[in-house]
Amino acid sequence: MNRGIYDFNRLADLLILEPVSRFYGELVPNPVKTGVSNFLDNLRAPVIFINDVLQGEGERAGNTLGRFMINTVLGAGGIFDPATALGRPKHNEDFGQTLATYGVSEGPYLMLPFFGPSNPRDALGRIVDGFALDPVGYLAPSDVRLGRTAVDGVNTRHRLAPVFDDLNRNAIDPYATIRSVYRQQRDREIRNGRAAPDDNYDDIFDEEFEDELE
Amino acid sequence: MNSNKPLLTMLSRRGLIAAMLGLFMVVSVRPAAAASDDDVLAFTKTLGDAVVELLADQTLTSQNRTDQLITLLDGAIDLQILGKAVLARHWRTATEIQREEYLGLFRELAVAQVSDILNSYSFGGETYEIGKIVNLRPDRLWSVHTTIIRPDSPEIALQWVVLKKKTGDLVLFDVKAEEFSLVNTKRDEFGSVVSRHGIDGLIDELRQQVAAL
Repeated sequence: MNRGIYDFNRLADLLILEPVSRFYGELVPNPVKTGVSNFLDNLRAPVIFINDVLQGEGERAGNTLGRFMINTVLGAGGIFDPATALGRPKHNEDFGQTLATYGVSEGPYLMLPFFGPSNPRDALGRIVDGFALDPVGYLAPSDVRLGRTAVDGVNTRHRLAPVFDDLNRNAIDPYATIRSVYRQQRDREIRNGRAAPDDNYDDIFDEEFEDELE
Repeated sequence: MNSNKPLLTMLSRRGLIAAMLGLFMVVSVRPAAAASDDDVLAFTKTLGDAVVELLADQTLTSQNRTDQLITLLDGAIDLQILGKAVLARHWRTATEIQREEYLGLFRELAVAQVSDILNSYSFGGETYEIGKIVNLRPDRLWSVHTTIIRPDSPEIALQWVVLKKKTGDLVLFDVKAEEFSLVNTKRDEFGSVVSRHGIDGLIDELRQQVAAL
């Protein structure tokens, strides 16, 4: 099932997203692309802020709010990112991460059509973010929302192009690699920069295998 | 009575030799001396300095740099251990022939990927700082936290996971870039292929990948 959706996503990528994002990459000057990224990031600030608050992360919430105000006012509506230069670097948050901090486990791995790797917790998070927490989600007309999603997709695909190329060249099973990387990535995001628990490689160094290791 | 003496002497000599042999065996099978944090840090520093020096040397041709890095890694890694750790529980079910073939391809793929990375990105001017060291398994496994500082690019948090072999030698066991573990990622990937296509399926995939790179 998941692999079927992955194949579908790969096909959609090959036919639509990759060519469009390549076109975007070649046609649009770099400063404009940076502006697009900044603008989309700034538009996400309310969702990040609410999730910061829901996680009880006061400092990070303050940082997000400060970024939003600085970039909206001094950064021409978010096209520029003076906040980073002013010592307020961006971070990401979503409701999937918020649920994780409440102790909700990720559940089985899910590959979503178009949206890619996920799990029931993060998929639910996506819905809550999109329809309940994001002001653009309920204030903007549907074609604006759709346009934003499309530009976001193209822009993200363009930024990740080297990663995709590397993955397709170096992984014998890109699907399994994406699953592994997604889990490690989410785990890292959920910890909000706190140190990971020490990875003792318990499954490699179990008693039986330890003897066979060398 | 006297005629028994040489025999007794012989026996006691044998006993002595046996005892010495026994002692020798005890000494030789005694675990190697415990490695200290300092030993592990020194190992990491030697390896890190050598990599930095290699990447900075602009007189090297691309092929030379690749060859030298591979020689360096060959000295710092135990391919057998790494190959087994990545194949994990499937190693036990593999036949001798499969194991040999897998390890050969594993090495070829690693070499091809190292040269691919060197050719895909431009290097030079990287430095690093050693941070804390964490003992992950007593006298067996450590993680050395470092920060890679690159000109005009964001820093990278890189962990070097160092293993003490039963011989007492230290080897590089894993690297974690921004907490992404190479061994864990490869283990997930290879494990997925084996569970769907078996070890021969993995060997086929590796062979194709090596040919393509």
